[in-house]
Amino acid sequence: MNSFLFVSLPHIETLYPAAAFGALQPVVKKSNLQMHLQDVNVTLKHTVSADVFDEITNWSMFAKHDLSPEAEQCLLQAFQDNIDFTKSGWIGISVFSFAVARATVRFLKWMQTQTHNFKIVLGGNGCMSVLAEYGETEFGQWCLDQKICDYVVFGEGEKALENLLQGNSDYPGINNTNFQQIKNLDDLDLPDYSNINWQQYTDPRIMITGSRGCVRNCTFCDIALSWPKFTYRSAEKMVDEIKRMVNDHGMTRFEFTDSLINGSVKNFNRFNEQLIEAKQKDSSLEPVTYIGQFICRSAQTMPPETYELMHHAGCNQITVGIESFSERVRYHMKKKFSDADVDYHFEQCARWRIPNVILMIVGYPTETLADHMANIRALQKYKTYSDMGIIFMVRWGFTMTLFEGTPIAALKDELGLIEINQGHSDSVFNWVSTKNPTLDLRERIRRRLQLHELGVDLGYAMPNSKKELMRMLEVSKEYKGQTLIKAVAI
Amino acid sequence: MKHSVEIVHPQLSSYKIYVDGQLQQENDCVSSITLELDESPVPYSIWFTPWKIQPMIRIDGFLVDYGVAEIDLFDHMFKIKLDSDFYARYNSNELKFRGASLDLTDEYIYDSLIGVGNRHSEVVTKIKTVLNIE
Repeated sequence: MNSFLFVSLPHIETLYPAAAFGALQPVVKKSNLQMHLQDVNVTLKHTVSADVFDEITNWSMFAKHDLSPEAEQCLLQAFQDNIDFTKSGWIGISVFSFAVARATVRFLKWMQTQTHNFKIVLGGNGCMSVLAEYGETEFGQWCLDQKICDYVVFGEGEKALENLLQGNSDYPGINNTNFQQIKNLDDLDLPDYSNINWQQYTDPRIMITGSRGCVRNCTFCDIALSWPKFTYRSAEKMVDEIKRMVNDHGMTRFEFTDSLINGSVKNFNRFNEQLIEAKQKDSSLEPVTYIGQFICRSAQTMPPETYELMHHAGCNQITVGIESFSERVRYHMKKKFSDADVDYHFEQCARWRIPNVILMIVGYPTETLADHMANIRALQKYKTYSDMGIIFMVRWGFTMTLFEGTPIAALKDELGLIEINQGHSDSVFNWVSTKNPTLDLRERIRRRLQLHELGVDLGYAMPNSKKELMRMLEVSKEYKGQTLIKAVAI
Repeated sequence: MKHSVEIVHPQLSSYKIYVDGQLQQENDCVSSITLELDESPVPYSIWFTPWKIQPMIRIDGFLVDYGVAEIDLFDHMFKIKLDSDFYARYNSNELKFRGASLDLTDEYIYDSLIGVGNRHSEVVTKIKTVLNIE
C-alpha cells in the first residue's frame, strides 16, 4: 500500500504532462505514497496509428458512437501497459473534462475484470459534467452509483485528496458535490513534477496555475461549475514557482492552466514586473517564456503598459476567445468586448510581437447571415496580422455545439433551442433555434466551410482542419434535412 | 507606398539613412525615431549611435524579428529591404521558422501544427455533397 498511480486517459493533451500531476504530488507525498504518472494518452500516441488515435479522440469527444475492434484493442492494451498490478495503493484518474468520461468508464470496467489491490479515486472538472450518456447526473456521481470506483473528488483536488489519503472521507467534495472552493491559492504547496519522464513528451513544458475560475460568465462555457469564484495567486508565489521549476528541472517554458491570465490586470502586471526583475537578477531565468489564455479587454481596463510588460517578461503566445467578429453575437455570449477593443488588442500584440491563437465559434444560436459576414470581413481586415504571425492560428472548431451544464442550456426557452437527437446527445451538433430557424446544421457547416476556404485563400494558419472537417463529415451524414427541421420547429 | 519604421532603444541618440550609399536623411533623436520610408527594391542602411546597441524595430506598427524580417544588424547600422514583397517574405520566413523543427513532409504533423494552405478539398467536397451545398 505505497503507490499512487496517477492515470491520464483520453482525451487530453499529449504534448506535455498534466498539471494535476504536479499539483497533487505534494499531497500524495505527505501520505508517504510514491506517485507514478501513467499516461495512457502518451502510450497511445506512441503505439497506435494516427487513424486509430483520431478514432479514439473522436469517440472520447462524443463525435463517434463506438470504437472499432482495433481501436478497442489498442485502448485495452494501453491500459494493460500502464497498470502494474504488482503495486498496490491508489489509482487516481484525472477526469480533466467530459472528453475523458468515456475512456474513464472503459478503464473502470476493465479494472473490474482484473485482480488488484488499489482503491480508485476520480477527480477533475469532468466529474461535474452532466452527461446524457451517464444518467443526466454528474459524471462522478454516476460512477459512484454504478460502483465502478471508490471515491470521487468533486471540485478542487488538493485539500480533499489530502484528507482522503489520510482517512477522512467526510471532507466536503468527497463523494458529494458540496465542495468548498479553495479561497487562498497561496496556501497550496508548490507543484512537484519530479519522477516524470520528460522524454516521452514531444513539446514539454511546465504547467503553472495563476488563477482559477473566470471573471466572465460566457454562455457557452462551464468553467463556473468547478470554480464559481475567480481566485488568483500572488505574483510573488508565481515567480517563486517559476524559479523553483527552472532550478529543479531546467525547464524554461511555462504554460498557464488559467482560464485567463489577465483576470486581475493589476496582479498580472505585478507578475510580469516581478518576472522581469527576477530575470535581471538571475541570468538562468532569462530564457523563461510563458503562454496562456487571455481575454480581450478595452484600453481603459488594460492599458498598453500591460502588453509591454508581457513582452519583456517573456510572453510568447496567448490564446484568446474572440469567438465571433460580430459585436452583436459577442454581446449575447457575454464576452463584453467591442470591435474597437479587438482592434486595440491586435494593435498592441503587433506592437509587442505577442502571437495569438484565436478561438472561434461558428453558428452561435443568434448568428445571422450578417454576423457571418462580419467574420468574413474580419478575415480580410486582419490578414496582415496573420501574415506577420500576430494571428498565429485560428481555431474554427466544429460549429456551435450544445453542452449540458453551460449557461446556454438555461437559455433554451429564450433561444427556442431544439436538440435533434442524432444518437450522441452529450455533444449536440444537430440543433435548431426557432428564433433563428435558417441556421440549421447544414447552414452552420456551410458557413464553417466558407470560412475555412477563405482562410486558406488568405493564408491563415488553421491547424487541425482536416480532423475537424472529417468530424463534420461524420456529423453531416446525420443531417436529416429541412423537412425535419421545419416539423420540429413547428 | 510608404512604410513606417520605428526604431527604439533607450540609448538611441542619432540616425542616418543611406540608400545605395547615398545619405538620404540624418538627425538626432532621443530613445526612438519613427521614419516614413518609401517602398524600395534597394535595401535601406540605417546607421545609429551609439554603436553596439540592438534597437527594437517596428515596421508599420509590427515589432519585427530580425531573422524573420531579414534584417542584417551590424555594430553601427542595420540593413532592411522594404520592397513590395516585404510582407509576403516575412510571412514565408515566419512559417519556415515555425516549422523548422518539424517533419513537414508528414501531412499529419503539418496539419496539426502548421495548417497553412491546405484546402482539404476531398473532405470539403464530400461534406458539400452530403449536405447538398453548392
